[in-house]
Amino acid sequence: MEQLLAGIKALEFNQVFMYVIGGVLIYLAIKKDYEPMLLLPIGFGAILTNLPVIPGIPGIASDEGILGILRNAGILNELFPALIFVAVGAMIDFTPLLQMPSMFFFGAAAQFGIFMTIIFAYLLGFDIKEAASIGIIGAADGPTSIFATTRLARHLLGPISVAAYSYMSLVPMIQPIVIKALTTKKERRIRMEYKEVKISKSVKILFPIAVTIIAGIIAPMSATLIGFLMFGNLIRECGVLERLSQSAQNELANLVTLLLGITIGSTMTAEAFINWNTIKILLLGLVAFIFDTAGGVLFAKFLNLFVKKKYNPMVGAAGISAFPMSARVIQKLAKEEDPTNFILMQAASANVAGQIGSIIAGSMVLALLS
Amino acid sequence: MSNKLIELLVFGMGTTFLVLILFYFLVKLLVKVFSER
Repeated sequence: MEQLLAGIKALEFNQVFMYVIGGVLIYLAIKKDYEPMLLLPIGFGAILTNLPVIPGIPGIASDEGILGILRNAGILNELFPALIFVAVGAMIDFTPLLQMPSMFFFGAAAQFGIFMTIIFAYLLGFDIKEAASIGIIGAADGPTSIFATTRLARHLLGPISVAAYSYMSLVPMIQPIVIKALTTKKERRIRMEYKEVKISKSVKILFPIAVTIIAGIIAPMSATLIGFLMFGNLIRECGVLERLSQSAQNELANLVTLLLGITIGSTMTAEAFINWNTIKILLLGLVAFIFDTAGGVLFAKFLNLFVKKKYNPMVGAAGISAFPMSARVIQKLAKEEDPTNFILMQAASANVAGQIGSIIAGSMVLALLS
Repeated sequence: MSNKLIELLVFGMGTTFLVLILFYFLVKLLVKVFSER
């Protein structure tokens, strides 16, 4: 009888609270469609991790348990984020960016939120490495956040991952408010010329190789993520590895996403999650996305002071890494102001530039703090 | 504000811009050299 009641006796209130948190994430995934591929496994992982542990039997999230084994094998050594990037690289078509390379500038400007959030987090009492991990939520890029956090502040992996993925799904709500606050109706109606430049296959093949070499030399910390992102893209563009490209886009992406989500959930133990720092991190995640958007929009307005062909400042906001959601949001806003204005291609270009920019910015933070 | 934060802001944003500006010129060059015939 004693043995049958061991689980009930070991149950703590904090663990029950985590079941509720896990349930909320699962609800958001299913009912609200907020990043369901990640929030659902994270939510379920959080429930599994907080099941009571009976003395003498390893818990599911302990180092000997299956979630602990997955955590050590896939997250703490950066394997899963790197594999996700192979899949992302195979999914991304860089052609719009190759046609409009000036969009690279917005991919840099929209990383402003990372650095502002680091400052705010530091002022709120986090140490510099914790602040940097929190700031990288502003990369709007889950794998980069996980990659940086495992190196700088592992104990914050749970709340940072949840914040990163939650805010990514809230881009359609956050960005329009910031954009409308910083632009006039006239600016939002600016039309941008789109020239259909033919990009040769040689360029598409050489681009990922050259980017890897340049980034690897200037920011060696970015070698893992940029290297794997560009490897995935090279598989896509080379034209002779169609099967591998399809596998990376489908099987690899699905499998790693599945394991990544539930393993992140395993970091959400009650002790690590239920504290004021989690609330601060969730708030700082919002700050990061606001400043990212503001950085992109204000930089576009700044460029407009000097150029003849004006940029629609909303395109600057698409320089965050949340692809393709941000580009769609920008096109929707442009259409609201002028139903005949079409800036999706420009926004998509800035958006893929943001993918590269977020990795470079995240790697620079790592390099400066290593 | 600590020097480390200012260093992060200046070098972090600066290098991000620098690398992406290099990519801008890289693409310009590649498109010019390997133009579609």
